[in-house]
Amino acid sequence: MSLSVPRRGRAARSRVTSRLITAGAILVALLAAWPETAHAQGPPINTQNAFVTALSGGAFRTFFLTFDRSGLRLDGEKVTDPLSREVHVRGQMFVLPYELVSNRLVVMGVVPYLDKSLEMGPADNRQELSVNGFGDLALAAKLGIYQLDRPNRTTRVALFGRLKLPTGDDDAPGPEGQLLPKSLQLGTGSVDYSAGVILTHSVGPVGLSGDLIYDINTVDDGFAFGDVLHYDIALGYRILPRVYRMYPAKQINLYLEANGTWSQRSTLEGTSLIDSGGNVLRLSPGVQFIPLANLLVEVTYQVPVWQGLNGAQLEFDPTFKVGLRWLIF
Amino acid sequence: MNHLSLRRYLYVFPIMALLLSLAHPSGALGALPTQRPEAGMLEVTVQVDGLSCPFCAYGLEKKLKKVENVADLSIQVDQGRAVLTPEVGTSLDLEELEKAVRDGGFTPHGITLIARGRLTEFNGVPALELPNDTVLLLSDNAETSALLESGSGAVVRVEGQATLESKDGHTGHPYTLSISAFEID
Repeated sequence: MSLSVPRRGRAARSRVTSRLITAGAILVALLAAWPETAHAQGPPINTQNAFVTALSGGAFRTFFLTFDRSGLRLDGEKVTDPLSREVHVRGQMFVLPYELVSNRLVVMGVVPYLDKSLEMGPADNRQELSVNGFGDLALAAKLGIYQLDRPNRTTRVALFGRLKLPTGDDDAPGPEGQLLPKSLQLGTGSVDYSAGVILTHSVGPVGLSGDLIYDINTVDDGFAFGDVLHYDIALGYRILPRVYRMYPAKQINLYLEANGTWSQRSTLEGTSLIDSGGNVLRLSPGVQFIPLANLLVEVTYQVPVWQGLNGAQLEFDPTFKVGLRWLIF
Repeated sequence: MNHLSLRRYLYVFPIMALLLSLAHPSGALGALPTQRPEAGMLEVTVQVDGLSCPFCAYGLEKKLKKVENVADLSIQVDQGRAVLTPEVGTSLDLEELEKAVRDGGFTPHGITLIARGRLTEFNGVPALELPNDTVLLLSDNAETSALLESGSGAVVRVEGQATLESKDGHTGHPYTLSISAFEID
């Protein structure tokens, strides 16, 4: 093995550390720039929050996202991909929550509309496989189990559960009639489950949310995606208005989130697939604008800062997300 | 305008002013006719703990506006409180109000109110009688003692903190009002 490989690894780690330090310094500077009297934020963009009313309680949320993979990694190191493969996903997510029990239980339906494509081959003979349509429908619930309120501060804990149903097409054929790869299908074909815990703590000018959610993915036609552990933490800060006096007022919040996914290897007929699973950590700066009491628009850019992928896999590229939440009920 | 009509105005104007001042005890020339103020709650303020997410206050606003007899509402986020103005001549159900805050996702931490009502007694305890069959017990303090000197049946304007007393873990009507200021009508 060439000595250049560990050097590249060290360089990559150094870049990651440098980005984290820069982002942290920017956040600390922002936090220090505003007085203690400024408090209160909104819900995080990529991380769950433990509130079980209003913003999640009777609302419509939608966001558009881009999700791309390109560039091959072998055991964590970049290598040349002979097929020059690229995966592009464009999705529009629709979330419809409903507050079933006041300040206690929120249920929600989530369905994505997806446009997925896989490009491969040399530049002069590029091939593309693509599908589009609605993905799997998920039914989720959030149960508030702890709430400690003090003047202008709150600490809340909620449990999260999700049932994903195989409503999306999972047997779309390619141009020669063979099934498209599982990862390119709109649905997984399996009934999957998720469970987790969410914590939100808001005090002074800072709002902190975190979640740990575990996805149990089941088998369909002998194939199962690996289980996934989501670990997220979000730090929010309201920059405008500097002092929130009378509700409602136009509001701008800044977020810095760390969003991680640790995935087990997928299995085919009970055998682990070497080139699957791994750990990906994204750093996600974001902005929220609340122009009306019942409307919130948000945008975030998720940069993968750590990719510990098993075997040979395409790298995760940055993700862009823009959306709105509308409290309509 | 000729001299005759000018002179007529010089007579008529003071006479009209005199008649108006006799008709209205305030004596203020040009004052609008006033009615005796109606009994009822004039303003109710709920301290709301946990109000750290203004976007989440939408649920609080919805729930509070559904409380019967609420005419106006303002949520002061920096003060952590909701200020409600009841319909004229009505009272708010304070227990319903606290439940609305809890259902809205927050924790009520105390209610202060301004109300005009009639002094009465409830089970031998001094109380304030308000519209909508509302009775507030008056807690035993110096302001209450001074107020009671005006005698039962007097109409008073009071300001104070309302609490729901708990006995052996059980709560029950009515709320107790700890008076901090009052005026006798």
